[in-house]
Amino acid sequence: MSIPTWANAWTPESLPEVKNISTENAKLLNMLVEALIPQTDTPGAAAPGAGEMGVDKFVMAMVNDCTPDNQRNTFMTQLSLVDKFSEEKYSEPFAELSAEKKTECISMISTTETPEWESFFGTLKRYTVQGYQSSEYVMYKNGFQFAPGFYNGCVDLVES
Amino acid sequence: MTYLNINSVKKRKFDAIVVGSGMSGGWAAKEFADKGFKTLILERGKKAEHIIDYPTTNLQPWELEHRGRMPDKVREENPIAASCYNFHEGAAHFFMKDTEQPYVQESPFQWIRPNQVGGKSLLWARQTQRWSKYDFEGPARDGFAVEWPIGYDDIAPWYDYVENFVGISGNKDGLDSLPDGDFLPPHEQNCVEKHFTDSVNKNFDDRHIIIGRCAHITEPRQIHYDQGRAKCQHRTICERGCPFGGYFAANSSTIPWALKTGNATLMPNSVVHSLIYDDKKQRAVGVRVIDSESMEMTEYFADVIFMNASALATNHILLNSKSNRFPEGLGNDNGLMGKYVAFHNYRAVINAEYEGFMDKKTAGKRPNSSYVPRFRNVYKQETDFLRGYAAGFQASRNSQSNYDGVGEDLKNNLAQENWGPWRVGSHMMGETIPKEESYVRLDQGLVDKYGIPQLSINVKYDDNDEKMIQDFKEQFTEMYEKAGFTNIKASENGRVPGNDIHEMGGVRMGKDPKTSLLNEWNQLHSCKNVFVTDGACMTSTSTQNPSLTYMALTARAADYAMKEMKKGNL
Repeated sequence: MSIPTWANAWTPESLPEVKNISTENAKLLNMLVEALIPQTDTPGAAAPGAGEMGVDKFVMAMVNDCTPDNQRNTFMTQLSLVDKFSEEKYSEPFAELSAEKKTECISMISTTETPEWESFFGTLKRYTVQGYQSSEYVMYKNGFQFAPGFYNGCVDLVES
Repeated sequence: MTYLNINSVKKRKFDAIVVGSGMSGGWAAKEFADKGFKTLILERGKKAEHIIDYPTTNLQPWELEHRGRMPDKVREENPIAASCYNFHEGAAHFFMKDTEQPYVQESPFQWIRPNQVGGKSLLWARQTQRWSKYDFEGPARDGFAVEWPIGYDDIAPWYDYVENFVGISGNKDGLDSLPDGDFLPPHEQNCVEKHFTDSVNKNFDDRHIIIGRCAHITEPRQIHYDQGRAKCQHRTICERGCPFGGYFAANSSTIPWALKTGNATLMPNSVVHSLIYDDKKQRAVGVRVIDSESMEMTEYFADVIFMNASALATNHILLNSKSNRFPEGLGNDNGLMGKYVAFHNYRAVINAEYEGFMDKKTAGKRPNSSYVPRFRNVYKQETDFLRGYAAGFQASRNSQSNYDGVGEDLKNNLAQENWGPWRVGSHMMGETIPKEESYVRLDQGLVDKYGIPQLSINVKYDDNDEKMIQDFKEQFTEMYEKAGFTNIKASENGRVPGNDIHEMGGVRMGKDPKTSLLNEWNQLHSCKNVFVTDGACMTSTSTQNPSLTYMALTARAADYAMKEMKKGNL
């Protein structure tokens, strides 16, 4: 049996709409996940980033439905403080920063040792990495095959 | 004036009624329908047609909104269902919600129930090991429960019969403690599993590590094509329902087979309230069914009734089937119905690492693992606890991701492969001893939304189980050490009874009507046209995953019932 076409027609737009987030914060979250795992243009190894893939929608689905209340509240509060953080460091809101500066800003957030920022960054990174690693792009790149499958119990390990 | 609707009654009269459409009910239905008997299949859950009603079966991993995890709210609302490993986004819709199934826990018990045609045969772990003569002889030899009225020779031809139709993959290992069947080609043990097999063979005379026998079609035979089933594709997302029919589920196999004959009628949303006993005819004449959507009760009639509602649900229905003749439940003359319930003890696991075969890994996926047949007390009593345990065993090697950094650093780290040592793990599957104080009964006050008294459950671990857990840890630690495994960690997972989903007994088979409920043909001693062939009939539990034995017992009992019906004895 072949896989129906709709099964491979996944796009960021076809994902369920995210709930409980303002349009502004949704855009910001998209930029944050892209800064965390950015698009890369290395010749021969060009790859989309997490924002382009729509991983932010997965992050919000998990924050909404699979995250304890206090952790979710902290996440949403800190998300609305990201621009303030950015302005203090760069005198510009996060959206105005260059790609390099965005990643640098994320890096600064990751090393800010307050319980709120630590919780925020932990949540953001955990779900972004999970969403990115289980994305269609990365899974196929890593050899995912839905069917037909097979099992071989002893093959040579060739270090990449 | 009473209006007797004769035609309506005729439409509700069948040769056989099968209560339940899962693992064993599907077999009863198939056997009756195949031989031309008009059969009514009653299922309390919703419709679940093969492929059509598998809504998640073709979803890619990234298409599950939470990548499999059920939202916290749903988990909190369904703590019992959510305690099962299969309650995830791919399969949660196949579970009965907690609110649908209120019951009383006199002791902690997780009663995991399905909610559709096919029952748990959609969700099962698909391990299919035969019982041996040593398993059937257990109660008589060791002096617990009652003697089984049948032995291995009685059931062996029926194992052959159902295995051929189901399709069982396995290796002919030649072990008398775990008899071989007519297997489809086995799955492969990986190099570390083979190493463990060799090491155990070298160091222990009484122990064997084999590839599991499982209900997967590794090489279809004509009988599987005839069912519309094809070769297993190793997707390892079986619990979503398999569009290939690669593993056995009633939905892809026995139920459509029964329906195809034109002799079977399948009624979902049909909650069986009780069986109807006719004092004058001195037999059960039918069942009372509540439509779960309209809440209306209707009676259906048949010459023979097969109880395949699942172990505890069958107890529940029979206990609730009260009449002048049977005030304590249908067939319950000795007051033992609902008692001597037992299960499988899955409480201990042991994990370790192995630093051999560092230049090897596995490729692909396997819907199976290795298996350790019971080696304790098989031929004679040799420990300070009764019976023993089987175990699952598997080795795997995966690249560990490096999550360090942000930006391009993180992205590059994620793309790196980091191959650590092999990881091995084993979980015990212990036989528990059926006891009179392990029981289910009807609650005296609480009823469910259908007005049926709730089932009250009291089933616990005992000292024998604790000793067995210690022995499993000790023996496997020794076996692991001898195989060169390191970083050995034995632990307990706190699983409560019921979570194993192998609950059995309550309507046990036996030779004596004073001490058992069913005879050697699974007939109620005192109401011969009612047969119980699901987990409720089990006299003892042994260590094997029980579904294969339920299927064989069902086919055997159905064959007997039909012969008796033709003779005019039923």
